[in-house]
Amino acid sequence: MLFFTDLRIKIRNFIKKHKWKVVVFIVVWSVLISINIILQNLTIDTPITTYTPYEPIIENGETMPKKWQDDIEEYIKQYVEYCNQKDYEKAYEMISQNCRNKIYPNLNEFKAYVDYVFSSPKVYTIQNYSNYERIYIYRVRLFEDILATGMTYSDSLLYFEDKFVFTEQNGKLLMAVKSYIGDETMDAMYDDQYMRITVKNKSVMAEEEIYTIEIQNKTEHTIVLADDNTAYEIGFEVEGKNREMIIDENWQRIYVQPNSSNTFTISCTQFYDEGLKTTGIYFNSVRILRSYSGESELKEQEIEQAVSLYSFTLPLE
Amino acid sequence: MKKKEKNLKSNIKRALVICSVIILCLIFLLIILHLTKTEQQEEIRTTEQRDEEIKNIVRPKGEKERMQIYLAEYLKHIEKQEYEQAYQILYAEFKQNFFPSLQSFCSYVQKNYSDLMKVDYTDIQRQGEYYILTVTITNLGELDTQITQKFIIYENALNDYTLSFQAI
Repeated sequence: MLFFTDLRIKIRNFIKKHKWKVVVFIVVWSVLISINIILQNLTIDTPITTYTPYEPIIENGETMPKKWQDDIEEYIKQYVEYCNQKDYEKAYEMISQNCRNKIYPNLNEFKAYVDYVFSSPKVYTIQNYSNYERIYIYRVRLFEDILATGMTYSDSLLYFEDKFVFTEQNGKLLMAVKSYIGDETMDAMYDDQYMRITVKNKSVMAEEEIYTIEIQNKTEHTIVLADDNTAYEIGFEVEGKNREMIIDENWQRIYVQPNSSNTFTISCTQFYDEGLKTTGIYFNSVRILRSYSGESELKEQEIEQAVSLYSFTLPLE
Repeated sequence: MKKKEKNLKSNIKRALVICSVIILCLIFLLIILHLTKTEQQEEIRTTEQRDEEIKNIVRPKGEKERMQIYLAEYLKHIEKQEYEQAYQILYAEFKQNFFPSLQSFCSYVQKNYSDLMKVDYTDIQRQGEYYILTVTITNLGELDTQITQKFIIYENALNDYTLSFQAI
């Protein structure tokens, strides 16, 4: 019994002697335990992923403001939902007026697009592509609901890719599709004894610029500017560098019959987020021909009999 | 005085011995209790605990490894013939399209997979939040066949996922 009494006295004396140390020890220990418990409960179960839809692929220093992230996602979600439901009017209304005017001037054209792309319900993924001067470009991929099909019908993933452009205007977001950014009225002209070329308009897209030009033929001869017979017939000067005109499946030969006017669209690759300016359009292979058949076999003969062959640059500034 | 001191010493010795015996008994008891508890825990492991275990495994992993673990878990259910659990993992619309009943799924699984499989991950792609895994499954044992199949996994949160596959 003496042993226990002795032990009790020793413990009491120790506590008396080191009262504050003991208190501090208990407090620190309790705090550490509490922090540990709190941290354990705070562990967020967010999986590590490389999918960062709000980080731009093309870095140019401008980031996507957080305040718009949810709105943009909601916009795209709603738009795809309307398209999947074939609610054409509502989907159409979501597109900005300027974009509608340019890309789908009437509802029927938009309907045709929706019926083609959304022939079966589609799911989508989004990725911020680039941001420049408060214009946020998103890459949107639309594809079949692969979770629902398990890719049973198609071994590779086929998707429709589009670029949705969001523009801040008066504190609101405007959505454009098909890479459309905006239109600019132009005031550039070239005039000589044979023709007058007026640049009417420039449509700025995420990755190209489309120019609408009107060519007036003042002569009794055919004027040929481009018929894809030689390289660089028409090109663009982009801050000292040359870019060839885009020739795709929709491209049409650029020639004007005697004493008449025609309007054409020509385009070049121009990345909006690079902020580069197109300073001129050069016409490298102007042919004033007495006769023009469009046949490549007759080309040399037609050129030999040409009234004039020359080149010029139409300044855009 | 000497007698008193002697008594005191022998009392202390006795107390020490008693204390040691009690402590040893307590430790022994604790060990037995712990062992019994572990055995019982093993027996009554709930799905939640298993989920938590998998969560802890996948938490630090990258997406590629995580997807492989999820797919391995799904295939493990098939190997163990836990078809209902495997069926539950499948995406609802996929089930509607290809396996409207558990029975139809069981028939498919029994026809195409064996109870012992070797899985080789050929390719993994991410399309937004969808992961597309191409795997070669070698059925060992009776079936002795090999199939290459795509699995699509969608992860909601850690160890919370749904999947579908090429129902070929």
